[in-house]
Amino acid sequence: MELFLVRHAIALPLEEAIGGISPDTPLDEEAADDQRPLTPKGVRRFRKVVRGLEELGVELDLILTSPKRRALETAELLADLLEGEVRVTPYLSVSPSEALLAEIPPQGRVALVGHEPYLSALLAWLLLGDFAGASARDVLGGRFVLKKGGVAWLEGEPAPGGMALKALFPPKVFRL
Amino acid sequence: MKDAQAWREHLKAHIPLALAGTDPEGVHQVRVAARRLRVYLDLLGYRVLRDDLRRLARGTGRVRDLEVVLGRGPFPEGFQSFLERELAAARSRLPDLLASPWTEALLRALATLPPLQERAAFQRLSRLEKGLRKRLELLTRDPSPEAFHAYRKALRRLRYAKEFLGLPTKEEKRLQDRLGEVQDLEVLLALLREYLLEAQDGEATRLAEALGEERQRRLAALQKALLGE
Repeated sequence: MELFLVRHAIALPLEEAIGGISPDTPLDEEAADDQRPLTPKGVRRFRKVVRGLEELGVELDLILTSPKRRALETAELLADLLEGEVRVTPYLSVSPSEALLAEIPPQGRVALVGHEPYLSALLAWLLLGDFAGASARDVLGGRFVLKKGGVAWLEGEPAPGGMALKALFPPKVFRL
Repeated sequence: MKDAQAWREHLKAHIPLALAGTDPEGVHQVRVAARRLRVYLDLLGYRVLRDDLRRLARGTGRVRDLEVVLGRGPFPEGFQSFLERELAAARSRLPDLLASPWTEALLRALATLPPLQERAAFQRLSRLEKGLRKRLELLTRDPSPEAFHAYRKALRRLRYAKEFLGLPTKEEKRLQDRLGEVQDLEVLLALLREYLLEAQDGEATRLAEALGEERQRRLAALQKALLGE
């Protein structure tokens, strides 16, 4: 199967997203972070990523997305490549887990839209497995940088150490 | 008039009631909220979350059908037992859907839905109106129960969309109620047929025949009302 790890596009910083809220209002930081939309620049740039992927012949059977607004909006743009379903999952807004892997079908072309540092840690886990121990997953993830709107293209079995990296695209390459 | 966040709250508030199984309103209102939120996504032009909301509505459909039919009872003993057994089985599957981390994630995602952009929303409303006209044309050519069902769903989508936009929906609601009565009969007949596949029951067979005739009468009356025949 083919797996695309997609980091959300450029979003409004938290401070700007909560700018309209009175300082006296108690703030649930996670809920506020969930509300961050993509910026117009983020939308513009990610559209180019989608076009670039389309030119490479990428088609998707399933998109799994984090429930945060910036991921949903990125998934919405990515849905231009979709021939199947989009599904929200809680496991893309936390560290990668077996529960996330269990949601990925063993066949087809699937995109996961999420956040850093979790996507990089997932990438390292899928490529290298647990040979250095689960605690090293995040450290190894730091070796694979996914920029906002960046895409890692993997192939193989969606299990720890079961995948090979076909390409790692910073969004910039689609603007060249 | 409720906006998307009010319907999200409505959904969240009715999930425990749906899981408790003590009041048919629980599952019914979960489905109403899911469908209304799907229409909100239509008006927003969103593709994401639609499949999740469809999964929620479909996953609760069996319980809703059985609860509606049981509400029309009592029925011949064997059929009544069949319905109660099937309802227990369908309810036992609900926690996997409604008490799952996925449902939590869906509610979290729904909390981020932005407000409607009025101009774009009205343009999308026109598409829903066009869709309803197309369903009516298809119904004119082939007045089958399936065509009535598709028309009913398109009518419901249009009604919900108009309500999100603060438009009157008296006529849609009146029609929807009439179409809903026929749909309830369809569901009852389908469950009776399902029961008769596993049981020989003369009383239930006679009931199915009588209901089949009633359905035909109602469909003819509806056809007359909708198509002016």
